[in-house]
Amino acid sequence: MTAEYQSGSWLLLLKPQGGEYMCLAVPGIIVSVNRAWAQVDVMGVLNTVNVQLVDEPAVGDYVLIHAGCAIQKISSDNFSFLRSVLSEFLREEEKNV
Amino acid sequence: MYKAELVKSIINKIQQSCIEKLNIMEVCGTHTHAVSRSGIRSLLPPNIVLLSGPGCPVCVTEEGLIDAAVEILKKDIILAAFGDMVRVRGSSESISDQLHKRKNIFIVYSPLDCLDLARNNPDKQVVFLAAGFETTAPGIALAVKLAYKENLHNLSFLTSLKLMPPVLHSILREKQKKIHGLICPGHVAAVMGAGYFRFVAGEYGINAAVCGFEPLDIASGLLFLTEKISSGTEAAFANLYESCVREEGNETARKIMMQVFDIADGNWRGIGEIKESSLVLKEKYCCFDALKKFNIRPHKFADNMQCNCSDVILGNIMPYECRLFGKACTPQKPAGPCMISSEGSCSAYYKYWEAGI
Repeated sequence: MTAEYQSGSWLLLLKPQGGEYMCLAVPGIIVSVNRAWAQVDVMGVLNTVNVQLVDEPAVGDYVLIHAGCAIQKISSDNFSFLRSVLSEFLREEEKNV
Repeated sequence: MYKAELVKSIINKIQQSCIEKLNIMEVCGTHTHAVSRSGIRSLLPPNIVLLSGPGCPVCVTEEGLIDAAVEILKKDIILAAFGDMVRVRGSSESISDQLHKRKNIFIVYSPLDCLDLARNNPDKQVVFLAAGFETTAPGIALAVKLAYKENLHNLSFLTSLKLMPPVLHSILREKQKKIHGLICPGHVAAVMGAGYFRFVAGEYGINAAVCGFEPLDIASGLLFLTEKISSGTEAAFANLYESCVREEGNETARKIMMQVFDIADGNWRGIGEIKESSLVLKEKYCCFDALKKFNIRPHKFADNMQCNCSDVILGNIMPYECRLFGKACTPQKPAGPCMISSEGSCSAYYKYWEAGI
């Protein structure tokens, strides 16, 4: 993503990619990798993301993206606690049917 | 079962389990906004109070650094910053106040964008106001490393990088605060590891959970905390965001961060100096330090805000308890950083308070 400086211009807004909050990170799936950069699908939109902060990024990896960088790989496993909460509620729901 | 129904079911369970007044701190400003936006705050029983925390980079960036940016802008340079940083005032002015003087100010999404700015404008000095916590620090470190590798000496960094544990120690040491539980920042933990916040339970006997930012994540976190607190058992810590947060975090990102930064004492807006709470450039990268390059020494200010932002981020009061909230302080005419920042507690309460949430 490049910025073009025009003489006399000010407050050029670079196209944001992702959440509006400074600490928020968004998940995406790596579609292609080219050295330090990857094309990452974030909710159907391809974004150019730096992948130098994660180990061995590969096509098909889910990553957490913050400020243009992948900061962690995402596990496909569910939360163990959340899974138990969901299981419990689904069991109660089945009883009520 | 739809997620919204699941969240409601979890909140119902919280209402059944909790019998006494509980204060739970949502450390991260993004959590504060997520709680407000999802409506969870309005669904909770009145005996559960969610306190705001200091996890808002814009809110805690010291006035002296904003003043330094304004001072540097007097020269013919390009200043780049994350969005909200340009709106917050230092001792008197904000960066955006300089727009009428036709100053070159760029809002960037990524610290790596500054490398492009420097490459594309080799005859201009580019200064990046690099603010954030541990989530953002590795990306900024990477930008510094790449600038060093490419000899981009027209680029420098004005850093305001803060660490979470020292400010939490500072808050939790005050026993009269009576914080019973902590929702810990999920993405800080993604980088630093789940164990980064384990001290909250171990040293202070306060239940804590690392949580994600979806309504279901937050509701589950609240259920965990309220059940643990109500049980009266030994304080527990849990990582409830295992899909993104590992016990060891991201070692690669941390390694890059510590190759570029040293830990130093930090000045927090509205709080004051906290020992070993900030990241500063190592000697090797001192040529990228904007304060040294432009020979500026930020002034330290006592808390002179007319609003009560400092009490809000320390969890002492709710945003609507500030006398200026909603009257002299609104998003259109903000008096303090907590209303300016998209992660500020006051902006969250105002935005969803108006909607009746």
